[in-house]
Amino acid sequence: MDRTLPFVVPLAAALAVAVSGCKKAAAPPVQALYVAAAADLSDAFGEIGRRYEKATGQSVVISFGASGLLEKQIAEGAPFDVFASANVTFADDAIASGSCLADSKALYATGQIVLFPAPGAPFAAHTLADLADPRIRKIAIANPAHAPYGRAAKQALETSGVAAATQAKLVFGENVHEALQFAQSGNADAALVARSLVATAPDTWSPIPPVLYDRIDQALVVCARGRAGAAAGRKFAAFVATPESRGILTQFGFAIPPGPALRP
Amino acid sequence: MIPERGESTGGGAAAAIDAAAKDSETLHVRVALTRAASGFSLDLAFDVPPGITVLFGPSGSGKSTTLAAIAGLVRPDAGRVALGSRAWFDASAGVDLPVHERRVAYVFQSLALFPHKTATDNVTYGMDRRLSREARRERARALLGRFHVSHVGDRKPATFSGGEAQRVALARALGMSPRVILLDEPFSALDAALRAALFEDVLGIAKDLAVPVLMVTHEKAEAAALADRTVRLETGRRRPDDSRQREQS
Amino acid sequence: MFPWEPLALSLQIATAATLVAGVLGVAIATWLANSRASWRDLVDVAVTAPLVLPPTVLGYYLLVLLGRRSALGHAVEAVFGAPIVFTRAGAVVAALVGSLPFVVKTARAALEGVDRTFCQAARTLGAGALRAFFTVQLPLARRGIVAALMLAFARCLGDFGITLMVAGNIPGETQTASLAIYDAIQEHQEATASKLAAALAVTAVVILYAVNRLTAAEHDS
Repeated sequence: MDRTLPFVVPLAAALAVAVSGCKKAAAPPVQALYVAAAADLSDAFGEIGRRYEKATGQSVVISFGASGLLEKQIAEGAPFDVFASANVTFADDAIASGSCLADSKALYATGQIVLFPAPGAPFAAHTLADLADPRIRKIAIANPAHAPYGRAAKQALETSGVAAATQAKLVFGENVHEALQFAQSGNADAALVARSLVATAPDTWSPIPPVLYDRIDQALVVCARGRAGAAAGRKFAAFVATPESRGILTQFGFAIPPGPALRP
Repeated sequence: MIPERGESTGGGAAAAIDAAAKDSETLHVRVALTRAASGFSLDLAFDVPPGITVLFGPSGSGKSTTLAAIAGLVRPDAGRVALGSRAWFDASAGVDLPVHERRVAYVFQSLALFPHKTATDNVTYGMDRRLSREARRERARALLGRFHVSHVGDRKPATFSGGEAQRVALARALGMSPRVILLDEPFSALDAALRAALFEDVLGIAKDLAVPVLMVTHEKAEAAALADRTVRLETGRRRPDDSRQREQS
Repeated sequence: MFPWEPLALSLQIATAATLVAGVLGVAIATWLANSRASWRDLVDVAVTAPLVLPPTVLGYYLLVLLGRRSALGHAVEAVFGAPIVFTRAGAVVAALVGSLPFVVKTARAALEGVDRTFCQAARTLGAGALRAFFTVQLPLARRGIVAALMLAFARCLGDFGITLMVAGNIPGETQTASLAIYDAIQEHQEATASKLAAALAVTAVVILYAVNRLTAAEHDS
């Protein structure tokens, strides 16, 4: 057993760290509000959550992930009070499963797509027409089959008349993150991605006229079986609709849906 | 030097030996089994009265399988194994006493001394659990002393010589106060001098305990030196010219 | 600021899951090693099957099996007053399911590596099956079993997909180091991600090194 002593020591240290976590990870004294939010909302909702905490003293715990996954988890009993989806369909699904409240459904933002040319590409594309250029060999978009941003990208290509010229060049990423990574790594010459992904680096991309694609509605719902309760959830949802929060959303690349009251 | 009959070897050894002596009866063996995979089949019947019976035959004749069946490690297809009138196995009556209840000391060819335990702990392993720990260790010490291997008491089997290991194995067998002793080719790994010494040990045990001792070997010399009776095996059956009795000289 | 919380959580969950996987896995491995039942191999395949499924898929089925809508989920809530999914207990179950196949495979090999004659000798010496197992077979398989446990620990530390589905990614409660690293990368906090990844890697390396030394020592002694 002497040989194992040098290894017992670091393991014991690891256990000490583990045990130290015990006290901290105990349930917070004031019931926290649990929010499930789409992955691309991490910047925007992170900031909104912080402002809400400061304004109300209510602590907010946000779990970011793929909207589809989060919806399935909520259906199976995940204890979230608010679910901010990347599109409306999953919010509808959450309501249909009985986990979330139909009357709380609200559009909190509209997604936008932009054109991101790969750094160091032989030809930097700035418009959709540019994508027809033979020097653009691969264009990355999110998979239109299940990603709303992918569907919008495909639609924009069709409406602007370059679908035939670009069809063979399309490369699908599992989601907009992956599509962006294809372009960032140079494996694709350009990508059509969510503006929220690249909002903080405005010189690197070009906007695409929103008229070219159906509005990407992003909806949130308040859920019945969350830890803090529906009332607390509704308060947070109302905060997301305030001008202050809208400002944050705009800053991080989202557009605000038309109309003062955010109702679909 | 092996003590003469009547000479005291210390309370422990004598007590261990006495306990078994009261149980002495004849072992009745009748087993039949077939191994589908290899086509091997065993079908024999014989008795083992108190004293040394040698099970003699070439490799592959079924000697070890017979021992395993007696110990309960292998379940015969048919037959009966009984000590006196107590049946340990009876196919027709559906009796099959589990291994650990038969109290059969089985000294394997490889000895199977537990490598992670000292000689003393090996010897105490089979002793009555109702005895106190100290009492068991005392008996173990006495048994090891009887076989002149006290000096390995606190050592582990990896450090034993062939002869020491053999003797510790015998001490362990005695430690469990067995009703029957099975020895599987006990001397195969030893040189002539050690063999001779161990012959004495085994003969001594047989005399003291008066329990059935069934010893498997393929060496004629051993059989000649030790057997009170011989059972000859050949491919799973007794040879027709079998059952020679021999007076103990 | 080093994110200790996810790392502490990972270590806690991995320790608990390894203990349970160890006891359960060794029990199953013992049965597989010693049994002569004809359906033994079927059980082996069933236990190993989770390795074949993608972790997220496995996690999803586990979620459906244990979630609040399931019969099992209702039973758990009735007894404990709270669901098992999306809690630390759920994270332990997730890590346990991912590491059990490793424990069973490795422990079985270790137990089968113990010469049967030793157990047979123990039985003839009067030991029942349990006593023979605990005093002879298990101690002689000790090194392999410890290696199995350490492999399980490393696997539990690294679990991602199953934990994500069954326990969720709730910071402070079920966000293990693996999930936190993924989050940090998504949120462009590469520095945090790197620090956490390094800490996790160092822990895993120390453990694997220990496994190597322990299993190599067999041949040295």
